[in-house]
Amino acid sequence: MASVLVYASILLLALIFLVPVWMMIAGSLKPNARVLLDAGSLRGLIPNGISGHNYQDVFQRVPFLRYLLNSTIITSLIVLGGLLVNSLAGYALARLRWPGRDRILLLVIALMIIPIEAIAVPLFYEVTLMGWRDTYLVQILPLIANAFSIYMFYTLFIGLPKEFEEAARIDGAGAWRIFFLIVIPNAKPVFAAVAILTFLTQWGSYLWPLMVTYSEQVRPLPLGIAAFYTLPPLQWGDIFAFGVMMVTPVLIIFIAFQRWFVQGVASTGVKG
Amino acid sequence: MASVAFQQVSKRFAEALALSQLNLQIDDGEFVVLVGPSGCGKTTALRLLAGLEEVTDGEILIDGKRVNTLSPQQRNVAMVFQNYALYPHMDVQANLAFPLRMAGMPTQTIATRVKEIAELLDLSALLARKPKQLSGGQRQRVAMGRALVRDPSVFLLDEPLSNLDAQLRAQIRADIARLQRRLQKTTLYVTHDQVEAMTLGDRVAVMHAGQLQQVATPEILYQQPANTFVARFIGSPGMNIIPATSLKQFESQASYLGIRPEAISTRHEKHYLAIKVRIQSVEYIGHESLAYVTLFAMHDAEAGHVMIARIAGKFTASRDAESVLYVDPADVYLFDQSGQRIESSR
Repeated sequence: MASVLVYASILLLALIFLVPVWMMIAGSLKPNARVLLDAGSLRGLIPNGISGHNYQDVFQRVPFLRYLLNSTIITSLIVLGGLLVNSLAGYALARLRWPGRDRILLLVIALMIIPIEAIAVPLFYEVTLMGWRDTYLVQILPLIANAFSIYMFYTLFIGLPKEFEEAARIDGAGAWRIFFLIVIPNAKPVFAAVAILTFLTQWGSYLWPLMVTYSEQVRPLPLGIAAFYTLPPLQWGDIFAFGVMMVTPVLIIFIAFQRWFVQGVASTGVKG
Repeated sequence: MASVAFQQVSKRFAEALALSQLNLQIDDGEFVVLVGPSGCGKTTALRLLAGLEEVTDGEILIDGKRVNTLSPQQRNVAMVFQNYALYPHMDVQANLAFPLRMAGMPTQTIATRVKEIAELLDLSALLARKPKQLSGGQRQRVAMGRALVRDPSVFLLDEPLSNLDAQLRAQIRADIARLQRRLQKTTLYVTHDQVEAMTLGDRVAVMHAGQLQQVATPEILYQQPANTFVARFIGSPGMNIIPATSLKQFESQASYLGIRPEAISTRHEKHYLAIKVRIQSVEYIGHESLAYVTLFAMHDAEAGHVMIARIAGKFTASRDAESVLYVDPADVYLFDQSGQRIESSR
């Protein structure tokens, strides 16, 4: 009986998360006029009158491929740069001996609770002074170093047996070789977990790009979908179609790396 | 090959003194075992020699050259770690080749050298396996191979057998001894197991609380222990140390007496000393019995002191029974107030 209740609760929870996604998919395939009419009932979940019209609309009304390319470039570079910078920082905090290390670690932990919204305005002034606005650079560089990622790497590295690195030192490897040849291959799940978490966060990033960009040439997908709200007539079918195309890469990446992601989070003991 | 010298070497971790003024000379090709209980400083000494820790005071010399400030790779030492520290993401071949790759050797030379070492250690069939696919004994051999592959001048082993079961430990102990005799590498081996120390070492250095207690051949350590610590530590079970007042004959000559459990017998000879005891328990282990007894001492203050007697064959006695055991006076060691052996005693 207890297990039936548990499964029923899990099913209910899964439905709460899945219904909006399914409604978005169903809505993206319906004629625009039906989307709002069906929204208040179960009909909203049934994609009657399937057509790809909304998807065609998206490509005609906004430069979707441009947004997709921008998001891909920005997110990929933040992920790659973040993996390198944050893993090195985590390693330095976990393994190297240098003055002030413990204080910096405390600072990193403290920084984890400060959201981008809290520092967005001073950061905006800073990047404006540097003349970086409306570039890829302004959407990438300030977001590479990330306290949460550093802490995730730190917790993994602190738990790796020191003997691997000591054996490598005796075998003649220097600090860089130890990091790249011994440490990284043994930390793949955490690299995957950090990469996915960073990707998810940055793929949906809205506020910062909105503040620092004004041309479609550099704007990412979330600003693209927002453009529909200011582009009359308001077409919910188009918005849903855009949403489906925006979410699909995220789902594919998450499903492909799900095993590593779970391993990585479990191995660091960090709950995202 | 090379000689090694620790000269007044000390190591301090924050407030704790882990190693105090260690003086130890290891000759070219010699096999020296550092033995002692946990926290005695033996692994610290090994790590200082490897270059994994910095010396606080004193000098370490390899072949007469001061190496205090040299990095591990510059010292040309190789080390086998307690948990083997095999790189988990590399197969056996890659693990063995790693030190040679780091030395920038040509691929062909690496392949040849790895093949030689694999044959020497009977690893040829395991080259494609990852460490997790190996048994404890096989991992141990791979760790040895990785240490030997680049022909180091000094070979360091940090409790390499402690993760193995008793049977495998005995077998690999013999393998290590054979390998060392064959290769004649200067070797420093750390263990807390005095059986390993006694069976492997040309000389054994006994350590306690960061200080070297005695360094000598296994025979001398057993027969002429420098102090009560060494006397208790070497031997299985260790030497019984009792107050000298327990045996009237020695009362005026020493502060403590040492009697090896195997020197106590139930057999009486004319010149033997009789020791009146009360039986606490008897462990029969086939070829011998270990009797745990308390002394009926001459003076009340020492009464109740526990000794172990190692008696050949089966010794039968019920708990709390009174009994008399015998010891040859020549087998009694004398120690002074500070625990140092009085030289003339043996």
